Amino acid sequence: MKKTLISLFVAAAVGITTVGLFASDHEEEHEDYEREHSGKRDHDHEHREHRGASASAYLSDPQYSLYKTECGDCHMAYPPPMLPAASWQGMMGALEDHFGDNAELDAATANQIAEYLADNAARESGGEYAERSWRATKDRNPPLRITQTDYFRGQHHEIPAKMVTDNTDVVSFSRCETCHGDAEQGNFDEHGVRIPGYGRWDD
Amino acid sequence: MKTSIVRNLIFCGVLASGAAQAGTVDDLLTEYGGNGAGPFSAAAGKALWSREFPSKDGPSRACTGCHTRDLKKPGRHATTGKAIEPLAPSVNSKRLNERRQVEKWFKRNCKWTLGRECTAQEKGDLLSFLRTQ
Repeated sequence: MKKTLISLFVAAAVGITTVGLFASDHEEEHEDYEREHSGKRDHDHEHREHRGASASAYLSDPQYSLYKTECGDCHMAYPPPMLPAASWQGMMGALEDHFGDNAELDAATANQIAEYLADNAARESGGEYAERSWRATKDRNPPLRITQTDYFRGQHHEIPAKMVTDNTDVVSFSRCETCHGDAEQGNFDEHGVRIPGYGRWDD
Repeated sequence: MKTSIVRNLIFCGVLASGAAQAGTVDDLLTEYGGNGAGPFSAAAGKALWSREFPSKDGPSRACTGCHTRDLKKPGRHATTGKAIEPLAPSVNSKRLNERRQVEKWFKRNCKWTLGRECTAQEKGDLLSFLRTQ
C-alpha cells in the first residue's frame, strides 16, 4: 500500500522518467486495481472514451495555457489528473466562494476551463497517471481539496508541521510548488523534494 | 548602428504598450462615465486603494493587503502566498491593457475586499489612480 502511495504522483511531464519509476510495481498495482474494480466495469465504460493516454496529456492540451493563466494567477495550476471530473465540476460551479476567495470567471471562459478539466481529470481508464489518481480519489464523495484525499494524507503524514504549516516559506500543504519544484508539470518525485529551510526529504 | 535600432525597437515597444494601456483605460473610463459616473479622481482612487473594509470572518481587508502600498513592487496573495506581479503600469506593461482582465479582477477583488461589486464611480477612480503608478 505504501509503495502505491509513494509512487502515486511521480513525474508526469517527464514522460520517460514516469515510465521508469512506475514500471517496477506496476504488476502489483494492477492486481489491486482489478480487485477494486471488478464489480464496476459497466459503470465506468464511458470513461474509456476519453483521450489522455499520455501522462502529460493535460500539458499538451491546447486549452492548458488558458487554464494556467486563469487559475494559475492565484495559485499553482494543479495538474487536472489529481482530481476526478466530479470534483472539478463541483469546483467550477462554485467559483464565487472558492475556498473563501472569489474566483469568478465570465461564463464563456469558465465553460472552456470546465471542459478542459473534465477532459484531463483522473479517470479509471485514460493513461497510467490519471488511473492512479482515479483509484486514489474514488472516495465516498468527490473531494474538493487535494490535500484532504486519503492518498495525499498517506503521502504526507510523516512530515512535521514545522516544515510546512509553521514554515513561513511554505505555510500550506496546498502550495505543492514550494517543495515540489516541478509540481505544475506533474512531477512529484520524492527524490526531487526540497523543503525550504530544510532541504531534501528522506523517507 | 545595431544598438540604436534595438533601442528604437524597444522604445517603440514601450510606446505601443503604453498606447494599449491608455486606450483600454480611456475606453473603460468612457464606459463608466456613460453609466452616470464621473468625473473621476485619482485622489479618491488612492484613498479607496488603502481603505480597510471589515470582513465577516477574520481581519479587515484592503487592496493593499495583497498588492501592498508600493504598486511598483510585487504583492503576495493573502491565502495562497503566491507572488503577485506589480500592478503599476510603469513597471509592468501587461497591466491595464486588456479590458477583460481589468473587469475580471475588479469583479473578483471588489467582492472579496469590499464585500460587494465596485460602483462605476469607484472603478473609474481606482483606474485613474492606478494608471498614474
